Amino acid sequence: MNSDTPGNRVDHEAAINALIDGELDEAGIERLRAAAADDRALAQAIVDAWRLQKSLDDLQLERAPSRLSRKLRRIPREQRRARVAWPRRVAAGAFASAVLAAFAMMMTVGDPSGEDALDTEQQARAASAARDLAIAFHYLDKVGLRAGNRIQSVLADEVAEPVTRNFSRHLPYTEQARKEKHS
Amino acid sequence: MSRRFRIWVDEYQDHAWTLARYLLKDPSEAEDACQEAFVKLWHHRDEIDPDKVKAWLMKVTRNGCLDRLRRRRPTEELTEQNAESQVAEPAADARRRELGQWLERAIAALHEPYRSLVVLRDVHQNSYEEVAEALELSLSQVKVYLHRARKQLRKQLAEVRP
Repeated sequence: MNSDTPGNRVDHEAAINALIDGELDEAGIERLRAAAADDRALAQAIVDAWRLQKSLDDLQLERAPSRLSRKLRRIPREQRRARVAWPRRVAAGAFASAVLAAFAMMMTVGDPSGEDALDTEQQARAASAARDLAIAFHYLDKVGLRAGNRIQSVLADEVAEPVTRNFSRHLPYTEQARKEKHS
Repeated sequence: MSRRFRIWVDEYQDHAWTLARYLLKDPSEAEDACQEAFVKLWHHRDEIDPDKVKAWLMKVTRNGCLDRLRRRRPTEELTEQNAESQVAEPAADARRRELGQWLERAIAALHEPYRSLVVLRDVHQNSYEEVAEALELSLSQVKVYLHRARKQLRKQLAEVRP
């Protein structure tokens, strides 16, 4: 008797998998055994399933390479260091931008100790520029810190360094410009 | 805390590595994927139920690997397909070790989620519940998909049957 009807095939398939997983009860095993006695294809499917499972059982977990193990063990230290290093970098960036703004102001306002003493209008302009500068400092520090925190949380540390590096790249040029103006 | 993390590394690095190797078939990419998963584990260490760290890590490792597979260029996929076509070569006199190698390639050639299912259940020997959690599937889905995956492997195995 051949039990290879679509309904039986599904049942047998489920029974084979349950057998492999050790979830088929005694009665189920007996039913499968009886069906396989009359059904060569089913018998072969059971043998194939057993062979496959035996081969799968022989497959071992691969050992992670020692280089990877070392990298993984370093994660806590590196992540902590990245966390500590970032605010310093932000502070450096904010400081650099503050210096940049100060140079810009010096170039705009000019030297107060020069021959052209400041008149009232110039003093007012200088006071206003100083106020703007203070606001700018405050803003830059706040933005720098907020952006820093956001970038750190989203993009991780690798991105942080190039961002702060851009600030400092402008500094030599600004210093050069200041020297030229005062020479 | 870093002591606990170190224990997780010791306990689960081979699992993450094996899964990544099967999914990506490229050791250096697999290394990167594992490292990313463990960095995420470090960042989320306080939010994860300690009993579910393994399932969480497997899920994150797998998702990272799938992202990498999606980013691969079509030519690289072609190489994969070529590798797949070699899998079914008859090897009537295959010894046990050769059969193991063949099986590794056959698993690697399975489509997702079948590949992950076979690795997590049959290679890692995880419970159905752990596999369901790692793959974010229901228990019945895991069983059905795993049956299909095994059937597919069995069909291929029949082709190299001595």
